[in-house]
Amino acid sequence: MRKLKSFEELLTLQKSLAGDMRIREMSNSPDDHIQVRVTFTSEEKIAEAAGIYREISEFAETGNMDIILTRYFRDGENNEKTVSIEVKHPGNEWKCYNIESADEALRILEKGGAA
Amino acid sequence: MKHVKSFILVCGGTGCRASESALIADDFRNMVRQLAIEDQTAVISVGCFGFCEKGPIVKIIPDNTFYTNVSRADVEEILKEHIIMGRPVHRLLYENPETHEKISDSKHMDFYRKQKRIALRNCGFIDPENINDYIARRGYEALGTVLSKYTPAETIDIIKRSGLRGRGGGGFPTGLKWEFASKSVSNEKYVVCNADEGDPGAFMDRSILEGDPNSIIEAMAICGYSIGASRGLVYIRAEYPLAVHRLEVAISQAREYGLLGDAIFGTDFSFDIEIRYGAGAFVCGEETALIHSMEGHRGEPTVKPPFPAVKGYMGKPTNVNNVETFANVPVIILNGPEWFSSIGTERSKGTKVFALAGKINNVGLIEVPMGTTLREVIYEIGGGIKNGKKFKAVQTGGPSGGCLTEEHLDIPIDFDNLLAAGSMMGSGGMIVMDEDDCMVSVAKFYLEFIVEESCGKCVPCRIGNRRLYEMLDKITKGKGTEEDLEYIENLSKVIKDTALCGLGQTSPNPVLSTLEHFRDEYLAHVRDKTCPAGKCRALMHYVIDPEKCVGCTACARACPAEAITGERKQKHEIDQNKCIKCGACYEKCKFSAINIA
Repeated sequence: MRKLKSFEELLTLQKSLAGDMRIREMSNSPDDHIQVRVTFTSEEKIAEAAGIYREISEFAETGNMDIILTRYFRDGENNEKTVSIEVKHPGNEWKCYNIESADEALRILEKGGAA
Repeated sequence: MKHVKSFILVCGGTGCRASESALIADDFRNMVRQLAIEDQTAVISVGCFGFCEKGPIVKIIPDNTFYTNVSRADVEEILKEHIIMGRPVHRLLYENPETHEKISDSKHMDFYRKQKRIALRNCGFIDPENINDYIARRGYEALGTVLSKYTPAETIDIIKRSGLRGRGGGGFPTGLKWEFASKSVSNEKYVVCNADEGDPGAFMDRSILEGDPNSIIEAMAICGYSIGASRGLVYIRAEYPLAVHRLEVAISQAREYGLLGDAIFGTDFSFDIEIRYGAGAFVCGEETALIHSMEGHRGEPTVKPPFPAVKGYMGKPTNVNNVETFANVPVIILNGPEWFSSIGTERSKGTKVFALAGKINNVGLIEVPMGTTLREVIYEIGGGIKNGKKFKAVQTGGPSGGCLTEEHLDIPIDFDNLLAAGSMMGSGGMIVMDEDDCMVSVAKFYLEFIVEESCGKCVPCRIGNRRLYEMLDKITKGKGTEEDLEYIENLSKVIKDTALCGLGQTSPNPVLSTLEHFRDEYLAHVRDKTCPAGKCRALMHYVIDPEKCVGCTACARACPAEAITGERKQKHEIDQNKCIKCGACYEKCKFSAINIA
């Protein structure tokens, strides 16, 4: 830790620390933020879902996009082995998009979940 | 910079640690490493979540899943199922006791729905041993704002306009207290944080210090700037080792950042804090006694004036506020006095933290806006009375407070309403009693505590309270008379009028309030020699109902005094001369054949 010589230095430090805290703070009021769920319907799809989850997470970070990102297993809801993303914007309902790849998921998010 | 996406927040408060939460957190850390998911999952020990009844508590972020009664055996399942597979572990979710519905998000639980967390804003949210967590939540921004934008007088004015009143018991306006200290002229002044939380069952201040120690440090520095003090002292009871440790860590980290020490933020304001340890004397919660204890003298109060604002620690002007009062200060500076004063009632602004205990379903730490009714606290947040029993009374204000009844349940809680009802806010202890509690015994319990804790300096408290206790003891043993009730009432009033300090003056409150609201119970003890709640052992008689007794001999075998006789498959009898009223027979009988008369 280095001594903070001015109030401005504290504010700069605050900003640099805000990232991790932001996720914790957003989770306090999830409906005020974009929520994204990577949903998978079979245990065989875990690895694929994890990859997509990671890419969305990195995409959000590089684009400074505030999203609440979770993984969600929909057990027994259908027999298909799929990965999809569900997106919810503040004030709207959840929308589900079946996807084949991470790129597809990112395109959906880039378009604001309206693809 | 890469940020983790999931957080496992493990309650690191004293209550949950007693149920191995520190080991649970370690297990999580080890297994996160084993599963190689450190880059996306962080495990953090946080302060108390408040819902102590359901601890140890683990919260998963960002989906806000709230797991209750977690044990070390659950760690692997939570990680593999929830974090990796995205499947919440249903059996660990909170279950609504009425609907039996599983609730995942704490915001939808009755316990949290009506709460507003200001003083507890960071408890259960940040790592109290990492100052960066506090800074990321606008920590020390209030101090920086004050030092760069406001004069000391303007800062005091903000606190005055907020309407903040002392949360330690008296409810004195905080801004006014600061103003008195600021106007005292001296080459040295002190800021003291009173963390000598002594009420039985109260743990508000401990939880704040354990969960958010930096907020107290920041507030003390703001106070120091406002009154012209460069030294702060935290008087904390040594029985709070975790709070002491976290405070020490926070002070050391604040010094490293230069947030304590010389020329804070490059200004000419310097401030530092020392810790002083109390030995757990209740009277040292009184500010003059506390100051004497810090000076190395006996913890005895002195007559005011002079007030500590004029002549306090080492004879210098001293401002004393309690932990919860300080915890509100940084937020008031950041959000403005109008924001704070918009919460609460006409004369009591903001929120109040209560330690909810006794015969209530949801024991724990809560923070509600002033003006919330006792009914809301007990039945909605507290989940009602345990085992479906009938509510009898609620004791607020600790040993200095009083017992309130059913008729007071719709009173909006604030300093003045509780006082008008014959109790007081106190520091925030709230103990709920049901139909099985004897109110004479309750009054006796508090008196016993006061007698034990009286510093002995003034006669009314030292001798008066002992006499009161003896009278109550006599009544609970069936030896009291109606004249005794009058005597008790008169003596209580004399103690109130003549005791030296606030603690002595309020010590008869539990007696007076129970006499007022539960006089019938006192009369039953002195006239009929019975205890309606069946609690006073000397007034109880165990009798065997011959209609129900099957002669199983279980009671006779359980009786340690050999007071029960009877042949197998024959009706049994209790010899009242031998019976020691231990209740072993009552607990053993499977046929409900033993009654308490």
